[in-house]
Amino acid sequence: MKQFIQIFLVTLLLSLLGPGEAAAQCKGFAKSICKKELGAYLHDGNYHAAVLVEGEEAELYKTFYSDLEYRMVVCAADGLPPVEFTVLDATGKVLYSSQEGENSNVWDFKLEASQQLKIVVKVTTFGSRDELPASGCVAIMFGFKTK
Amino acid sequence: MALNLGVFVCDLSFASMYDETSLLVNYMEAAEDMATGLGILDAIDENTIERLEQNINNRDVIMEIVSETFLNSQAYLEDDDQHAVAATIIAGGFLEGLYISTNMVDIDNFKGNKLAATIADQKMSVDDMIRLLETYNDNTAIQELLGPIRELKTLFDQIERSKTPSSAQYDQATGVTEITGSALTEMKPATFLAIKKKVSEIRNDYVK
Repeated sequence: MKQFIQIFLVTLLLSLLGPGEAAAQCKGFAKSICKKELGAYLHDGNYHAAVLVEGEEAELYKTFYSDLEYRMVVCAADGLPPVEFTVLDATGKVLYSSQEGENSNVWDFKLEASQQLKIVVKVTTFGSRDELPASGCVAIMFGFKTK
Repeated sequence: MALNLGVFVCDLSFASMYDETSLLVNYMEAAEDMATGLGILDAIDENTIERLEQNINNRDVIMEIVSETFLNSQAYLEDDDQHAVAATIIAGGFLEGLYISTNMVDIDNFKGNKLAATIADQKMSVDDMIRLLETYNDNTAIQELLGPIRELKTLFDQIERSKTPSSAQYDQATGVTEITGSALTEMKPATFLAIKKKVSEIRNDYVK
């Protein structure tokens, strides 16, 4: 019963990353590369992926529930500069920054109380170069398990 | 049809949790028919059905198949610029989850009921659902759905929720960060019953 609620009550997609921009290859990338990093956590079924350009930022709002433990994975295609992500609560307080976590693309967390969090993903830049800005697929995946 | 697909995928998950194996293939076949109608048959193909049949008694694999089916449907629709259809499928799953769970709450044992508490937490998700649907407000089907969901939101707005400030504590031993900060949610039985009634009305308008 719990898992049923997890998928259809607990894991509601809040907003899609850059609707209309996700290229077809993003789906394959998200499924084949990013999903594996969820490990023992069950993927919530939601698809959040978009093609981002270096220097670009994307936001995602998602509600997380207190009876679950979560894994969040942020993956970027080869050729993109490092991708950073920050997690904030409803008041804007930063709860986690991937820079503090040694730029790991995986974050495991649980909550004392259910709440909505905001996830900001930023593609850093290579700095000044003569080439066109790099672009590529960035995917965010969420997995869960019961505490 | 898109909303019904969300409903069926939700029912499929529900059936797997309750070991209703005889229903599983029926639900998946119904979902396949709807996927065909929506032009996203790749998301639920014969292989999916076969894999489901082969693992009919393996709950973990079934959950994995359901999760993957949901992902495939969304990804396919996103790639095909059918964002409104993807959002409607999500709304269908959400409403069906609410429909089943509200029907499982024993109103005579309402106080301290954990499922009722989880339903009350959907106050946040209803807002998110509306935000998602409003993104595609130019779609007629979404416009029709938004009205009743906004009515549902006014009922969820009657739930009182207060929360202490959050902070994050990293546990070195487990590698898991705990986000602390408690919340107090209060849903009156009358509010619950009104939500249950509204969800049922919306759901039954689509599922005949």
